[in-house]
Amino acid sequence: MRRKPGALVPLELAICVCAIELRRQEVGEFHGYEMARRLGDAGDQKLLTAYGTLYRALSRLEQMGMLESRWEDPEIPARENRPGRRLYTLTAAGEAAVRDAARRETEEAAAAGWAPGKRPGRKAAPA
Amino acid sequence: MTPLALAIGLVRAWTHAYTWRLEPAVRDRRRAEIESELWEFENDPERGDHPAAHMLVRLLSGIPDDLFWRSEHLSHRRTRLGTGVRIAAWTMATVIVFAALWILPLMSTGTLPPLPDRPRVVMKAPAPPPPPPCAPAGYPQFTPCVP
Repeated sequence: MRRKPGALVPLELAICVCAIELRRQEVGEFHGYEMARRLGDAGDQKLLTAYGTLYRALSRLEQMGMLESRWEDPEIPARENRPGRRLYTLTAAGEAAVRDAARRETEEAAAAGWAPGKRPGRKAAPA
Repeated sequence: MTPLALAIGLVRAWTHAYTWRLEPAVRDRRRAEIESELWEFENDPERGDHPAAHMLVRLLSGIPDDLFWRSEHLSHRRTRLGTGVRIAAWTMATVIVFAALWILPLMSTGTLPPLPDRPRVVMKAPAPPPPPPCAPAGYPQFTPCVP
């Protein structure tokens, strides 16, 4: 997908918004499957985001500096007898990107006389 | 093999295919993330109905992004085998698409059609050979024999 430099596609924005929601619930870090579940719940979708789509978006967000990631302490998965999780954290740049997107949405809505998030012909952007 | 195990195997095979010959750190990270994701899904009590079909749809719809992701990482590290790898990846993707298209309808079949009636098998033995002609007097005889 062609994009302006630094601009977020809807999925990337949704990931950042979910990460903010998780932080509000005092969950600072999340792993890929958890994010897929959250995105599914937020969009009221039965199908989770495709593997390739989700991990490519996470990878791009990390490259753009909006997410940071690390492998969890290997003792935890060894104790729980499961594969290790890659844990992601939203950075300040990610939070700023969400704020910018929300501001832009509000400005566009005000300029065009739409209610924010109700732009015609477009799926509602996350608040 | 259960449909879920088959779907997990396909996701794993595809992940190995599209990460083949990438930088080891990039390759291992993606494989480990997918492995973790598969485990989480398999062990999620709220994963819903038809987990294998769900998994296959997630796999199929993500294939274009997997290939784009691979090409992004390959552009940093062009190899002489680049074209070959691309062809192999597309071939593998095609195989997986066809395998999934074949498997999905099999999994969606709710009830099997009734079995046909039991076939009637009639065994017919060939007629016994005619008795041999009788031997001349003084020789041992087959019984019965035709004089």
